Amino acid sequence: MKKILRRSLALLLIVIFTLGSVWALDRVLLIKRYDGVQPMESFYAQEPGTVDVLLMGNSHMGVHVDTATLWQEYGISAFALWGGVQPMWNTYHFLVEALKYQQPKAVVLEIGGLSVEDEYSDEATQLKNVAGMHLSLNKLEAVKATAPRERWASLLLGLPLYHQRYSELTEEDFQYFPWSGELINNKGSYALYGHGDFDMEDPWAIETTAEISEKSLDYFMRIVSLCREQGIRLILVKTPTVDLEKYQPYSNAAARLAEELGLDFYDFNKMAEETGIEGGDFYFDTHLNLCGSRKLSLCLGQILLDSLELDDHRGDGAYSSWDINAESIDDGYLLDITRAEDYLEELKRGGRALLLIKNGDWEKREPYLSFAKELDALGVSEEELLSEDSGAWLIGDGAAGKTGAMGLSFTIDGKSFAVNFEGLSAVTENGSIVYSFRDLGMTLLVYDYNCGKILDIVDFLHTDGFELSRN
Amino acid sequence: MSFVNLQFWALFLPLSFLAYALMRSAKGQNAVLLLASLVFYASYDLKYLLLLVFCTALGYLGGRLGGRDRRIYIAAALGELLVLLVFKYTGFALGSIQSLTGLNFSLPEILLPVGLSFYVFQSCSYLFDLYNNKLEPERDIISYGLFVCFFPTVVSGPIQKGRELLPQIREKRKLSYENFSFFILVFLWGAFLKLVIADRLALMTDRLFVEYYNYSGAILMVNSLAYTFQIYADFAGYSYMAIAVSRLFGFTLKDNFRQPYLATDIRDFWRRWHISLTGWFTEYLYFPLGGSRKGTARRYVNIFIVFLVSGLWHGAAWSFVFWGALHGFYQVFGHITRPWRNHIYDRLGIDRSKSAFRLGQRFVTFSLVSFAWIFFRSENLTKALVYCRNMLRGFAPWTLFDGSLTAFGIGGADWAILLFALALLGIVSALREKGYDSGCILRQGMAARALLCWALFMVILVFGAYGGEYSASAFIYAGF
Repeated sequence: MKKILRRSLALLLIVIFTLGSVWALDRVLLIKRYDGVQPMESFYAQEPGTVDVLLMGNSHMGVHVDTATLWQEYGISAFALWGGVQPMWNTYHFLVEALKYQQPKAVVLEIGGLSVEDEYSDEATQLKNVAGMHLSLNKLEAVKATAPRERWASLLLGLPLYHQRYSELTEEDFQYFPWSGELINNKGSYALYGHGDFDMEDPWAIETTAEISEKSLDYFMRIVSLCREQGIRLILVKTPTVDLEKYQPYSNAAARLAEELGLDFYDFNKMAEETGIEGGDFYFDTHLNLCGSRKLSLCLGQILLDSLELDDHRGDGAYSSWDINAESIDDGYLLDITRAEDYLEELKRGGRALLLIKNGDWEKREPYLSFAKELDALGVSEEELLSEDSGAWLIGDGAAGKTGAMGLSFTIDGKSFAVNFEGLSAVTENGSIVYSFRDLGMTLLVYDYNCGKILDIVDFLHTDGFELSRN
Repeated sequence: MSFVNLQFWALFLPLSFLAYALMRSAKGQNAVLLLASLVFYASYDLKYLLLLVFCTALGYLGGRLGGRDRRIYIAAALGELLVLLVFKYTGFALGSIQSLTGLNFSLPEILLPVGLSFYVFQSCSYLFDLYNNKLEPERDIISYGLFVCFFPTVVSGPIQKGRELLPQIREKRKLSYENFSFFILVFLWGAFLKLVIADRLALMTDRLFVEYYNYSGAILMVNSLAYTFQIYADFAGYSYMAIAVSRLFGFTLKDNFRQPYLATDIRDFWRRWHISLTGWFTEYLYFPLGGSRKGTARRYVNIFIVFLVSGLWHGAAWSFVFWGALHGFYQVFGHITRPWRNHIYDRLGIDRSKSAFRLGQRFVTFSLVSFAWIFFRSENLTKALVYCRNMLRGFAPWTLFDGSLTAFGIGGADWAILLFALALLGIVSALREKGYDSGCILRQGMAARALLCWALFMVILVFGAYGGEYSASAFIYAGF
């Protein structure tokens, strides 16, 4: 009897250890898609009860609404829980999952998902729209709605579909454990940096109404019912797109549905004046870039404030992760800027330490004079700048340093930086060269407190007319 | 439903085992297992379940009625073989007639029922044993039904003989911790062979045996080598899993593979490869034909007959017949030239007892077997010949190292894993050859066994080629 007990206990321990190993393996090998998977995984990491507004739907929601702007401008704690090409059934099951952990005051639903006509999405879309969900009955139901029977088991477990990722693992893959602590800073939205140039069509010219598939409509109605049951304000939106031929008939159908159901519906394609969105605010024909999403978010934020009683959480320590999220999105934007005036404008948002280096001297005429004026707005005295041959200026909170005749040394976050105009002609971080002077001109090193490193180094060379360049 | 299927693990095996464990008598255990076996078989194709039931009934009735007239045993066996002939060879026979005569008629589309060749041979072995007085007829239809339909073996063997399996069926099996340990270890090893080696190699061989005309030299050589390991890992892997599952239910089945690629000649190879089938052909075909008792010439003819039939058993196509003939030729040629070869070795002073000599023999045997697999795997004889022609021209060894090999579904990291897995297979084979079998591991402490099984499980989970194929490229246009 004792032997049987001992063996049973040992077997139990082995089973527990094996299951734990499989769980860890799943965490590592899970596809870390920025849509579907990352938003869901990050959502689980949020402090319960902190999300006031849930932004839901397909990529038109995830990319077009910027949680950073909603936070920075209005103090709205919004989370974008979305997936690329996400059909309504996945949105519904995402919502069911979300309501297990948060009690949002509003759900903003992008109606683009109503345009899905097929019974099932393609296999990759199926996977990313369920892989991030924890194992539960809701996930089982999501899987059943998402894929035909033969894929249920693999989709439910996930690992059979992505276990072969072992050869493409990166550092990020090891940060999806509960104790990693990084996911809380991601609020779901995904920014596209870059500019397209598109002609905007007239949405009013398209009056046809699309027929919504039975399955999409069924799940849309489930979302409506669930929100009503939970006392959550449901706001429907159609975010801007250039591809009106495809989406406007669905917007028209959604408008009709909203009227019938007594829901708010904002067709932002028809609100170009309010949003200020134009052709250059698109990354490609169906998606806004960050400039566009900032404009849209300003407009949406105001609508949310006007129609809901939302608290401004800025400054509340429990919501600091929204600050980090905003900084991270801004960093991505900064790295993408290619025009000097846009770059200096973006730096005015603060939150970073700037090291400005003037290497050499040149005639004090345009465009240098205008450039010096722009730098003055950042905190470098125009007068001082114009009077010095070479020099270094440190701007930013938390950075301590001193100017010397031959350079500057300072510390940020405990790291020692030095600018050396002689000998090395370089900037060093803890003794290692991080930048060597290229030519006559100005250089900006941007240190980001959030990521704890030099985020960007840009030159404004005299020979280039002080245009922005990266080495 | 296969052994490496979620349904099998999540539902079928636990439910079957639980019901089996609750039974207090051999009859109850047999009834549960028979029912489970029928469900297992039906999961492949419900309509062919009828054929399995028919063949089982035919064997049972033949066995029961043969006591009055022994010719009934043979008639029943011929009936079983006729079923095999109709379902497996009708298309092949009519197709061959069509190509020979030039007649134009439509060929019937007959799908081969899963496991037909295996359970027909198993039934025949029972009937032949009855005919030869090596066995008493089984009176209990459930016991006989279980003998034919036993789910671990019904689909791909090993082919069991009545005199080996029926006595175990008649006795009540005890469930034991030792059997459970054996099951876990041997099943994992089988799954490792199947999923980590065979199914991964299949990514390459499935493609190159179709697109062989675009490639030549070293690439095709590596591909034929890959197939050599694939077929072994696939079939031996399945056999290990079948043996392991059988042991879980208290049955002891004999090994079906015994390091075949360490064979020193072709005869030795067949003593180690698909042992249950070789045993069947030896006992029920080679010996009745006279074996080696009727002179050398007749012996060679008998060998050829056995290998031609064996080729046909493996597949209804001329390429399989050629493969069988090639093995027959290897054996006969080997036998004829042995005295001359030995004479040459003696003249050259080569010590045949040295391990270096045996290594050379193994290399030659392996190469011959590997070459023959090309005919086994190719779609038809013509394609196999073209494959061989392409393989032997434009050797281009640099293609083995310039990344060309990663273009066939097995990436750089996958190759590293494969080589590691093959090295492990080599080590295990060498150890088994020296007499270290699974018992050596099972005698170790629980911690050591658990660690080994855990490691094998994790390796299979990550590196096994199963489930859907994740492809980053599939997401490029699915992003939005």
